[in-house]
Amino acid sequence: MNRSRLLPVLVGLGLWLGGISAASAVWGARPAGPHSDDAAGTSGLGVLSRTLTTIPRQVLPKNVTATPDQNEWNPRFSPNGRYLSFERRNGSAQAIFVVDTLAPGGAAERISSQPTRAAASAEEALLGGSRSDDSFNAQISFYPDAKSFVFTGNAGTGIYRLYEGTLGGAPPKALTAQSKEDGHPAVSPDGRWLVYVSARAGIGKLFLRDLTTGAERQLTTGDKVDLYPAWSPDSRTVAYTSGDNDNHDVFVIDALAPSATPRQLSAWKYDDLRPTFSPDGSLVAFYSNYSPTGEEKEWSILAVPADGSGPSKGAALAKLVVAVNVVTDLEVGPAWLPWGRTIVYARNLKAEWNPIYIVDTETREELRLETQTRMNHDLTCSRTGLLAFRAQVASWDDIFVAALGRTP
Amino acid sequence: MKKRHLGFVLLALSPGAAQAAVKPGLEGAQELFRQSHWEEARGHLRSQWGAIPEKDRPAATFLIGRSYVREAEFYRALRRFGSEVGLAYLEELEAAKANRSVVWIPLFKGLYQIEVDRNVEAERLLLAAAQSPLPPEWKATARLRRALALQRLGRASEAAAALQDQSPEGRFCRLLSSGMAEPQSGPPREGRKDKLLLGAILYRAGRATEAEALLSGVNLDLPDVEENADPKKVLRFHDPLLGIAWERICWERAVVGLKPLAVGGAGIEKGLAAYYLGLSLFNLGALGEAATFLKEASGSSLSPELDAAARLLLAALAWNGRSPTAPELAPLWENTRAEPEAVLLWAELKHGDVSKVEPFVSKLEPRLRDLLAASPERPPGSLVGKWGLARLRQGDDPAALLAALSEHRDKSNKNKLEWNDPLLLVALAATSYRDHEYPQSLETLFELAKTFPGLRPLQWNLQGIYAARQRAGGEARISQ
Repeated sequence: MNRSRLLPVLVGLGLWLGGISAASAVWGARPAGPHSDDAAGTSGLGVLSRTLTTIPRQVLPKNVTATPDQNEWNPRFSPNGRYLSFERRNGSAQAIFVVDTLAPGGAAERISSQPTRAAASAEEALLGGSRSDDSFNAQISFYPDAKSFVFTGNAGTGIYRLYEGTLGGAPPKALTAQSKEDGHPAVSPDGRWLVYVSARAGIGKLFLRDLTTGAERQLTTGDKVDLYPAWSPDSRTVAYTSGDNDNHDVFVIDALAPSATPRQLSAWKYDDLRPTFSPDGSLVAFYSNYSPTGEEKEWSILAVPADGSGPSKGAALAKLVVAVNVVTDLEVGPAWLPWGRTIVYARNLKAEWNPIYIVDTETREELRLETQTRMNHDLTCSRTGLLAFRAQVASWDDIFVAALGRTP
Repeated sequence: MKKRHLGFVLLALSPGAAQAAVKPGLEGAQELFRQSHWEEARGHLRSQWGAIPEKDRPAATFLIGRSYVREAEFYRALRRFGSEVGLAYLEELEAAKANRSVVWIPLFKGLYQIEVDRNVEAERLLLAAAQSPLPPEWKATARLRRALALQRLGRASEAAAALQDQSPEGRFCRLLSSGMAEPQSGPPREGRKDKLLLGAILYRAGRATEAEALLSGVNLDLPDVEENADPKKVLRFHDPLLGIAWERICWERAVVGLKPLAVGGAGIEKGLAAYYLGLSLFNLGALGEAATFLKEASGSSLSPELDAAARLLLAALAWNGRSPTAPELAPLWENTRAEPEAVLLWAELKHGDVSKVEPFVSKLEPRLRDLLAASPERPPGSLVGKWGLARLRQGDDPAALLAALSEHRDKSNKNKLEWNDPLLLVALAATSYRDHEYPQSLETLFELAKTFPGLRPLQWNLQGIYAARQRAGGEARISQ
């Protein structure tokens, strides 16, 4: 390690040890990691950046679902990092489950748009009670209070609506009553706005709901399908994917300005999906099926300036690739770590069980995170530095959680 | 990303589910029942009957009987849909010049015309068919079924003479026309048609065990006639009488399953069993016995929904042989119109002269239209299915009806029984057909056929119509 890097590392070490959160303590961060014996890391790229050196190279994730015959997927944290949601098929239904990360081993709360009810008649009781919950539920988005949430559900019908509920509270209620195809809700970090996709006019477009007044307006127009909206940290801008059967690109729009014109962050032939903002709001990362190797089936992660000042196509945009051959997540975009401008992702190396990497988007330096888990994907990271992801146990997928280190 | 619609996106994001193991005993059977796997539910209970606790046996018995009622309602809906399609298929065949020498077409067209109440045309066609160069047993079929048409036209004496036939088909036609069950003595029959018809007769004669022995292994999906004079063009014909027999067998199985509970049971199980037993007997035309059990059911603490239905059925039994008057119907309508199942029963009972009387003239149709809109919570799929089929029978716009039915369909699992009631799926298939959406209709039937036997005739006929109507013009040629 050269001398100029030593001081920041030591500062980082102090911050990491001193700032370790309650959740990190619960989830067993392994302090033997980042800089005790090999500060150069294991990335093979030489000296690590300051951010990466604060991250352990090895963690011992805990399985929070551990169901022997069910799959779980799509982990998401509440804004304060305390609650972790995931989805699971339960009988004929797909429900959302939420666990409290401060109470590991506790029962998960089941969230559904079709709560179980008592049998409506003696006959129904004789035949085994009410019809079991066969609703579809997914895509939870928490309010800033971390207890309330919005999600997509169909209450067992073919009608997809947004539902609103509270942990430990009354059964969720439909939030949007007029539309039949709503989804992808995202509550703004300040809790004032809800952006979501609705196909009420035939194709999916973004709609903005003022959560204070209930007033709504259509945010995007045009003949392309707009999906996967994500808020900037300042609750002003929304990034999203827009496209058709042939191609999707990434856009941002000023959500609070009436009649704002979207800014196109990518405009090339490759499919660009599921943008997410960096914690400081300066960058937008997304998956792209552009691959520097030319492999059609390989996906990359790009990180581009969120204000649209960067290149949107060609070789200039290609230079903004920060990770290659990645495993794309089905529901959400690339997972930013809460500190610095770093992204955690799974690399598509099946022979090595899809190992987890962390990349610094500024230096492109990478750190391989040893987890002892297999076929990792669906990664997300809380603001408190908890990493959650999906990995395989026997032939079933469970959700694992590990503390990455200090509180940002 | 190649998905245009949000629904697709949601679907695409759902990882596949593993089939959970069925729980033992009553609980497992109840789950199978809710998933519309009725045969599996019954098999599940029967295979572990000895291990089912005494306290669960009334519920288990009820589930078995109730599952047959559901099956009978399903096959009734399928039979009606099949009759419409079967007749349309024969009309397509008839329109093709190349088929003019096919003697089977007028015969089977006549058979299907009876099923859609076009008895005048049926009588003429079958009279001609009985004199055409058909094999003798099919000439007999033409005579017998013409007799049924005659009876429905009120020409009872002519019909009675023609129905004096000792064949299984003759006996079955007499069962339909007069309710008389005359089981045949003598060697067991080999043909599947005879087995089905005799099975239904044996059941009505109270000889369920013999009936089941006869029905074992009967294939409901085979054609009755295969015409392959032209090797490039195979024509298959299916006798709609077999569908009638099969539906009756389902009702009969319900009767056998529910009777012990209706007679010897106690509490709520007894009342419910009595209602569904009465309903089954009503549909079998055993009106006296039906009245006994419906009265018993009506005197028990049934739900308002079933109580209204029981009162309506009892009233219908009282009208047997005559048309009710408006003063009889009006108070009954007012007392039952709030219950959706009862309203659908009104729609079932509407036929002949009855339809000229209130509430059928002005009240039933608007009530049917708003039936689901007024429902405070999500209506069950079976109710939606019955509603869709009732509106289709009324001649409602199929495109609008298809949209309305689709709102109650699970789009992610659009043809799966676990998520969509079989009656809803039949209603969707029938409405798609009426809306000329043949591939959608066939797709739904294909999925249903994975669980239910006996759909092949309907599928075959519908495929034939699809093939014929997809041709821009000229001669219809239906081949496989």
